[in-house]
Amino acid sequence: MAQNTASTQLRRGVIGPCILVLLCSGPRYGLQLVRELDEVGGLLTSQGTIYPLLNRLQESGFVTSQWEVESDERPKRYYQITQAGREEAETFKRDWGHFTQSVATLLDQLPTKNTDEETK
Amino acid sequence: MSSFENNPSVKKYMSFFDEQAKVLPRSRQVTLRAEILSHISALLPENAEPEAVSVALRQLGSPVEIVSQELEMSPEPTTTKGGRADRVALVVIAVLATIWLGLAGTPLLLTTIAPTPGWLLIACGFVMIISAVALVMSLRRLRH
Repeated sequence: MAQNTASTQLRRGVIGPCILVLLCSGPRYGLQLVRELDEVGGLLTSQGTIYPLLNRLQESGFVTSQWEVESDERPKRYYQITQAGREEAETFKRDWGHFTQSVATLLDQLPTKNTDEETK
Repeated sequence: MSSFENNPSVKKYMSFFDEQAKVLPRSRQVTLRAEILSHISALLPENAEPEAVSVALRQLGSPVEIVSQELEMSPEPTTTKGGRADRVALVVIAVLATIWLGLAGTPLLLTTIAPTPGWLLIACGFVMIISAVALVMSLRRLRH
């Protein structure tokens, strides 16, 4: 249960910056983002939850959006990253490196401690 | 209405979404609804099979989950000090308006006992109207 909670919190923390990182390479609509996130796996609990996330990113000034109509299809809302969003994505990429290194160092110590306790 | 919107499963899903989304601001309800419909439209081919529709709606996620996420992402509701001060001010206005309504109505009652100057009656009537309007408006604002 504790692990599920930690994973949930972790996912919630990184999903916004991950969306910004994807948008760095060009505008996308919701389903496109969902599919790219699904390719790496495990970041979205369900597809529809991306829209509140995108709205929050827009309210924070990291993305803008506009509805576009393509031929006979239903309008799609395309999201594009702002300069503030790019800076946020860059900060995240930098911090993620330090973060994963610190956590990896801690996790590497665990098997050694467990082995020591078993031999006592 | 597009063909997928006439699909019974989609109609049922959107009806449930509309029910859940009532807690959101109206503008956000409308926008989120449009995005959900656009998403379903992009997911499903024309005249999709019922099984494909069910799978798509399952992947989309429950409206409960989507609205919960929206509420989680929304800014804090305005039960701030400013909001409370407004409510206190409205209560004070309502109480004062009630008192003035009562006071202004007294000379009108006195006309049954003794003659009352016309100008006084007109002035009291004017005050009563103003007080009644203030009372009604403050009570309506408090209800919202």
